[in-house]
Amino acid sequence: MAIAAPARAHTQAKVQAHRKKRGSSLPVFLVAPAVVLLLLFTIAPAIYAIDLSFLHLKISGGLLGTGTPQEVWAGFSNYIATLSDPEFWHSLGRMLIIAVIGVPATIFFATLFALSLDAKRARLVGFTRLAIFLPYAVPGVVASLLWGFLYLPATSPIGGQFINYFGSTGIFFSVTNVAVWGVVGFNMVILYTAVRSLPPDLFEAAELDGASELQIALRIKLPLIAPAITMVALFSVIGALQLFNEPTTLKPLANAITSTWVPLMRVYTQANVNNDIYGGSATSFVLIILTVGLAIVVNLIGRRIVGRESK
Amino acid sequence: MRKSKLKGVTAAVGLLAAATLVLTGCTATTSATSADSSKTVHLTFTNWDGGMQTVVDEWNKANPKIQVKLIKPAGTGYTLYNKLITNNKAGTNPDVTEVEYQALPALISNKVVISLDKYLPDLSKNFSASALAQVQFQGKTYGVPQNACPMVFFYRKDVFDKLGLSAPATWADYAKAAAVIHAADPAQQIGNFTAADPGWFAGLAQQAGANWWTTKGTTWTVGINDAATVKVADYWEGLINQGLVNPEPNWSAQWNTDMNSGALVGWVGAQWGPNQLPSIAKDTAGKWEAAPLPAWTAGDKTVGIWGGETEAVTANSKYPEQAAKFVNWMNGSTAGINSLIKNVQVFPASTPGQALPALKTPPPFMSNQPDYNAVMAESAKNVRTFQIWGPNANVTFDSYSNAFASALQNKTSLSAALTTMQNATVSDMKKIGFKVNG
Amino acid sequence: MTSIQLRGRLKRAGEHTPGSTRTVNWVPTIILIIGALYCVLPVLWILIASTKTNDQLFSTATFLPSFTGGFWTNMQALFSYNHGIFGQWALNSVIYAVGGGVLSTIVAGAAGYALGKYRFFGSKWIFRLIVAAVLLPQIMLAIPQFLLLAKFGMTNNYASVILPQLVSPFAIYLCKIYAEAAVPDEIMEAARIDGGSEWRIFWSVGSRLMMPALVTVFLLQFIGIWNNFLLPFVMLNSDQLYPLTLGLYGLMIITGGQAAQYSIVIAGVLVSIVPLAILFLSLQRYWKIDLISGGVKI
Repeated sequence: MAIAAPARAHTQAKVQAHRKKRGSSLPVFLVAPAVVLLLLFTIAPAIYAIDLSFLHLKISGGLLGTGTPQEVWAGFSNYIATLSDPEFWHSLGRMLIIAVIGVPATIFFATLFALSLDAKRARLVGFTRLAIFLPYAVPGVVASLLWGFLYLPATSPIGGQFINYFGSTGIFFSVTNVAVWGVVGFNMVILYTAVRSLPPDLFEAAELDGASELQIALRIKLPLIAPAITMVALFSVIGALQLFNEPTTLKPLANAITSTWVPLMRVYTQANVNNDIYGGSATSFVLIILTVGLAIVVNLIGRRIVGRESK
Repeated sequence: MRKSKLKGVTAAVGLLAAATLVLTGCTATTSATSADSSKTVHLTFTNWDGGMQTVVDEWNKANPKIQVKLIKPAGTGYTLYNKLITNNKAGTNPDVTEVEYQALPALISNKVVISLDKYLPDLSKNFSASALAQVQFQGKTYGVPQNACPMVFFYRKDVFDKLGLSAPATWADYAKAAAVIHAADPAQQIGNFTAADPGWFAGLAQQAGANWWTTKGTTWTVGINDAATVKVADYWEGLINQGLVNPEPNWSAQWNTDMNSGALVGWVGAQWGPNQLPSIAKDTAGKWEAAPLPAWTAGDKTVGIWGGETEAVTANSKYPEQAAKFVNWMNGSTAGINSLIKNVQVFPASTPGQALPALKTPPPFMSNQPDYNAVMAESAKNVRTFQIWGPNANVTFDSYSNAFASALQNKTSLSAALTTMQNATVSDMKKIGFKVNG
Repeated sequence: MTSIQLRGRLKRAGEHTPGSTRTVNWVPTIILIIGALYCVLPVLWILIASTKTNDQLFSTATFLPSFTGGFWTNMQALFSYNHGIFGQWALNSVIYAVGGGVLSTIVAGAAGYALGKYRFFGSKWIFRLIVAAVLLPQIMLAIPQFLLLAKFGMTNNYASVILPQLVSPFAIYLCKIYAEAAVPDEIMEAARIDGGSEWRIFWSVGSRLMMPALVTVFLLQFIGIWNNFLLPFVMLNSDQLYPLTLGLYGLMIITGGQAAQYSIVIAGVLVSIVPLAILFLSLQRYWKIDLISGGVKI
């Protein structure tokens, strides 16, 4: 938070000075379980996955293979296969479309609800806050199942008889809607608590000057919770990258979604349906490299903008 | 940790015991069998069919020495087979598993299942050649066929009667009937074309004379976009484009509702349809009849299959002999088959099984059609399958779902989707190392 | 940060007392009501659908409940399915979510405290490594995790589902940020002067001050594990070990012999949401997500 930042910088400097002086086994002991677990259950499997991405399965001899299938060196062929498959790029494109609709929608509605909750003399605040948060407790698979019932013409109470929720364009909104529905409440709570932690003196002065509620919300509160909004945006982008449950559960309902519709569905299909964990690993690393690349680019642009503004 | 140490200890004890046996001159085999028969063997069995628990219970009651525990998998079809392949390396597979015919070659080539010739009696007495072709590869038997699933045509007798239609004998008749039905009531269609069920389309292709996979020696030939399959694709594409057939997938809530409400008055299905229909189209019970699948040329009785399974024994099983015994009881003995008919509503693959009195009465949903099982038996006799299922039918099937769903969604040609399937299948087979022509 | 925040909250809490509200501010109230309807109606649909039998589901008006006793039939069918295995699944979900949630919160709290309040050899790199791990998708890791655990014969048990979820990069990140802000150096220094060992300070000062963060992290982890599908799917073979997500999914896709039992699945979904809703209602007071936003620097 803007207010807390200087305080933290100050304490950090002090801590740093202090830390050098004293050696204690405590921090090492405290961090050890996390590091060991991370190495065993995240880093080791990740390294194993890198290894797998350069292998493939080979069967030899006879019609159906005589010996046990062997893992053989595949070079970059799994990576080349992923990069040269137009369907992979299409799946990335579809994910981007959903991100472009879903991320702004999540931020907009989460902010709108958070500011409404904080508005003076708003009613039903406790109930609506809980209600809007509720979908977060519904598993993604279940959320998609029940939205599926709401979309299909046969069971739709929301006009599925007239609107094609599974049309070539409609499907993007249908999938995005399920995803946004699931996370908007969580993000609203983040923003709401951020608004609540602002010192009220800031608005009281503005109120005395005759500023309206709306003006206070937009001109004072909104800029002050910008760091929290950035956090929400970050969550939403990560969420879009990891999009999987919603389209997977909606898939059997219509022809609109294929088993490689978004990149992670492709990874899942390769690894869990087509017995090609090797290709699936390669696809994952291509995705990770693209994500890191994107993050670096965004970071650079962001710095340049910040740098220009400070001049 | 502790467990593995223990394992080591037991192994050492075992070795010692074996050594003693050799020293004392005992023959290991007799002593082993006597030891086996004195203790109870526990088997695990993965199967997702409804009603299977009762069948297993009956076995357990009759065989106190070989107790089977049924496990419902959390995935069906290829997600399950893929898991079996992954778990095979870990050694954690169940002893016996359900396998649909088209997946067996993949499990064999990955050494997930074992050949049962050592443990099984001669099956050729009780099973037709076409049924055994589903479980025998290169002279080895990998399971006992459970059911025959000939494709048949289910239709709403009441609606057809009202319009003066009879069950279509040929696909040309089917198209004509489709036009009549849709003209009489634009909200009604004769059926749907499903991109969700590759096995369904494969069955239609089998009927038309397609051979997606053929082998010569150890070389494969893949012909998914052969002339016969293209003919089938073009035929359905015509019906879909005219709006006579609904391109919606089977099993979705939408399809259930359309079947129940009468928006769909026919279904190209298979023998097992009446087990599914009660929960899909309950309101229309008693209005459906089954007819032989429409033919390409009048008088031809050939049909394809959709579905069908066998039980196979895994390489991870410590008790293959007992597991094979269970498999053979279930799919090859009168008691087992009777139980399957009663509880899982199976139409058995075994020829004597097809003559069992239990099959004299039609399944409850078809009680209005006394000759239901006669239609099934007749169709079962005229089944034509591919020469063999490919070793990577999973890739082919996944490609079908994607390519056909996209083609239906974007209204592009279905035969082009066949080419996509062909290419995906061939390139995957080559990558894995199979010898493929072309 | 915390002290300012607390003051702000105390002071402004007074504004919402009944006495000071004269008229209703309609615009935000209506926005909130619309938002609440959007979020609640689909959940309400589960409740209504759970009163219907499988065929009523497709033949009666969507938002009209059925009063023909479908609810109890569904619940009975659910709890008697396959010798009552649903109860076992629910118990398993609780074991995974509570066990995994508590343990991963302890791991994250300890690591977060150490990384937030101390600088030691490699601490910076450890933190970077942890943050970078957020990028690895679970879908990619699941099978390698399985294969590695399988080498030690450790799959298909409770541990195989809990262990890989014990370290959550995001939770550690949260705890570090919170420890930096909520555990003042002055207090630690004072405790040191009083002769308290580092261990004692951690135990009696650090862990107490971090409690709000720990509750929040526990809740997040609880939901994450409760809703996880892929990891248990890959790790487990025995249906006695399934959590609810896996069991319900299996029920939903069962074909070949019987159509999907939607009415049972819907009843199961309802039962599986209830514990989460209760957990949130009861822990609402401790739910302090804003500690997350404190960590964002621009």
